[in-house]
Amino acid sequence: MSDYLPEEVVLEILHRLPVKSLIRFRCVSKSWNSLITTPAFINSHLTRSHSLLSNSNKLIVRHCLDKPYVEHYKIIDDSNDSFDQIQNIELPLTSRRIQHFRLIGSANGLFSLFEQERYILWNPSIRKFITLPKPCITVKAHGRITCRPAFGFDPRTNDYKVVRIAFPSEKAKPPLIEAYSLKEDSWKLTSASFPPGIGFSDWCKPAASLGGVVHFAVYDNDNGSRPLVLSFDLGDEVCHFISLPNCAFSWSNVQTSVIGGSLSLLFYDDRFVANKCCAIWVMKEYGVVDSWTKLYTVDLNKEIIRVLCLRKNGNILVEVNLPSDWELSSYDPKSQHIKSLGICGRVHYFHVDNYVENLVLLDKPNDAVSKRGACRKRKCRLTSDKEICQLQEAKHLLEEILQHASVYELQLDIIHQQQTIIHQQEAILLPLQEAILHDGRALQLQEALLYELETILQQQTEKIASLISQIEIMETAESKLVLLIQRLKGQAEVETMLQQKTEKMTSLKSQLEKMDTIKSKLVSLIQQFRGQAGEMFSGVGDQSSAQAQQRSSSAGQEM
Amino acid sequence: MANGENQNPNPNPIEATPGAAARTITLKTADGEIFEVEEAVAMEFGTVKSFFEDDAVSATKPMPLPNVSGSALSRVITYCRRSLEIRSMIPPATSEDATAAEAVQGEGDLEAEKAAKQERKEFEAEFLKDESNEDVKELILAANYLNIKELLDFLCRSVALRIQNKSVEYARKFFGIEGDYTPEEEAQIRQEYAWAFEGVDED
Repeated sequence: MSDYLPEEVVLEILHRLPVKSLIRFRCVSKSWNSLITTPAFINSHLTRSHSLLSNSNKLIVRHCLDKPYVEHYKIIDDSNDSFDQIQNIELPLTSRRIQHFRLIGSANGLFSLFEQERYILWNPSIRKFITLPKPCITVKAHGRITCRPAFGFDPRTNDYKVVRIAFPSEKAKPPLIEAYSLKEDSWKLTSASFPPGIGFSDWCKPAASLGGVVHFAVYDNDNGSRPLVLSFDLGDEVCHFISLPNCAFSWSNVQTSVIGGSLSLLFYDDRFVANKCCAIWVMKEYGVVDSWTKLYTVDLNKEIIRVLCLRKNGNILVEVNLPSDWELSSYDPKSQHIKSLGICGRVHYFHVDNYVENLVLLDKPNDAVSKRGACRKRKCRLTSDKEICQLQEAKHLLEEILQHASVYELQLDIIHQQQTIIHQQEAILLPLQEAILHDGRALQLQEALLYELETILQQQTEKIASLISQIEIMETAESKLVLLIQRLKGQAEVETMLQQKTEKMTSLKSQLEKMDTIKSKLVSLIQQFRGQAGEMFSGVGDQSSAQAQQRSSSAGQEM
Repeated sequence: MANGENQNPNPNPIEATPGAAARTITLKTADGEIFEVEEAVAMEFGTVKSFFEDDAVSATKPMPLPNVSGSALSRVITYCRRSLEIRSMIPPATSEDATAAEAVQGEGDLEAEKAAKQERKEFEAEFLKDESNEDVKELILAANYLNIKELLDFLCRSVALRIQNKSVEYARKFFGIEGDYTPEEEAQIRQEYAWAFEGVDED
């Protein structure tokens, strides 16, 4: 009874197949190929993938190795403590100008990478990447710009978006925002305006994407460098602010992230050199400022330099600086014990995210051109290795020929000559190899330093800007002070005048008093004389009265 | 197992057991076999359920199932019976989906659920162990026709497991599909996604 199974049943079965089988079964027939590559199937397969128990405990780790410059993506089983690797996938692409691509972000197992104006979407599940078309905002069209990109998935429209916020070097021009939509496969300038006076605290770090909204750690220049979270909705392309918990934070080194499905913040606090730490905060209820909760504080005084992600067992994945290399390790916040996981890579280029198998990008046309370019580049970088292999092969062949000495005796001389040439070349190449190794490591260290300097420079320029505005404030304060001083001076003059007048008054008063005393003395004198004159009058008669009168008149004259 | 209130006139007197008031439903397969099924089990079949809900009159004649063979129906009944038994191990009836397992319940309930899950796992592993691909397909068609969601889910999962590491030719044979790609077109896909064709089971 070989009946055909109805299409709904076939679809049910296809939905339960892993990605590798689905890719293979595209060959079964043309109708199966179209079933598997429709966007509807890709979406529903992803949704079902999320709910499968077998998929709920997987992580994907990105780490970058040198010589050759390859990005590795490891899929890890996080259901127990052992951190077993399920698979390792390499990015089949090398960057043209820098050693590794910069990561913008990841969502649903899809990664977004870039170098300068070349943007890439990469799906390790199906090992496929696409190069995005050229963005609208370019150096050619807009002059020198500094660009902050972000990447996210919008579950409302089942679309993946890359956002670029571009700041022109000319301060007079406002910042521009454009977004790329995977569904429409094109960039569009948004009409949204970037809020003024806002600076980023999280350059070079991926912006957290949650529920169709990307979140940046920023600070408000116009408001005393108050730290904030700036959210950009990928759907309606509107900016909002989310306040931070009410504590003192340095705004210099903050990163947004998603932990356990909630928005989270990583505060790197290096204000106190002896007590560097990273505080992990989680917003338990989205949008509710009171729900910010501190989960852990990670001590950064030993080898840990960066916090990456939380594991199912409560441990924290961290980037660790060892004497020989930089490594991914597992940190237990209770015991503070750091366990090496044996995954090395370039500093600052580690990234960990939850992983679900998916078919996104399967329906997009292939990037045949880029692939060829990549292969060419990789060949060039591997030349020294290849040469050595070829030389070793030649060596083996010659040894074989030597065994047939009787037949090839005549060619022995030539063979001997070739051998010596090979030895010479080897002698030249080996030290070269070592030198390259040495240089490569030195370069890496320099790059790490450069990266740090970059971030410091950003911070310094922004500090300078805030200082300038403070100086302006002080200048206005100064002029106000000058006015005050002048006023005070005027007041002082008035006061001295007042003082003088009061002095005059007091002297006048004392003079008046003197005159009063003299007057009273005179009055008593007159009475005395009058009294004496009266006595004279009664005793002597006219003579004495005349004399008395003379005396009184002379006394009067004396007065 | 529901206790019957009214006596259903039983066309097959051999099945009547003294004292048992279990109501049964009679089904007749394409190849003429008659099956007496407990009502509870038969109500797992979506088609049977809607047939008896629409038709208020209790059936006196056996319900015909023209698209199902006797062997298939017998297996289906075994599955549904066992499935009901396992489900009754959990106090409040919850669906067996992986996602619903985190519902807040009492500790005793959690233990019962765990035990039920284990039973189901073992039972399902045994159920299809010796079934050939043809038999499994027959079961799928039966489950699809009878509209038994749980069984269909289980069968699809099992088929996916069976074929996921198999070759393209195997899949074509299983589903009875003729490949319609030219050799060049097929070679192109194989080359582009060479990694997907590695480590495949031998046919």
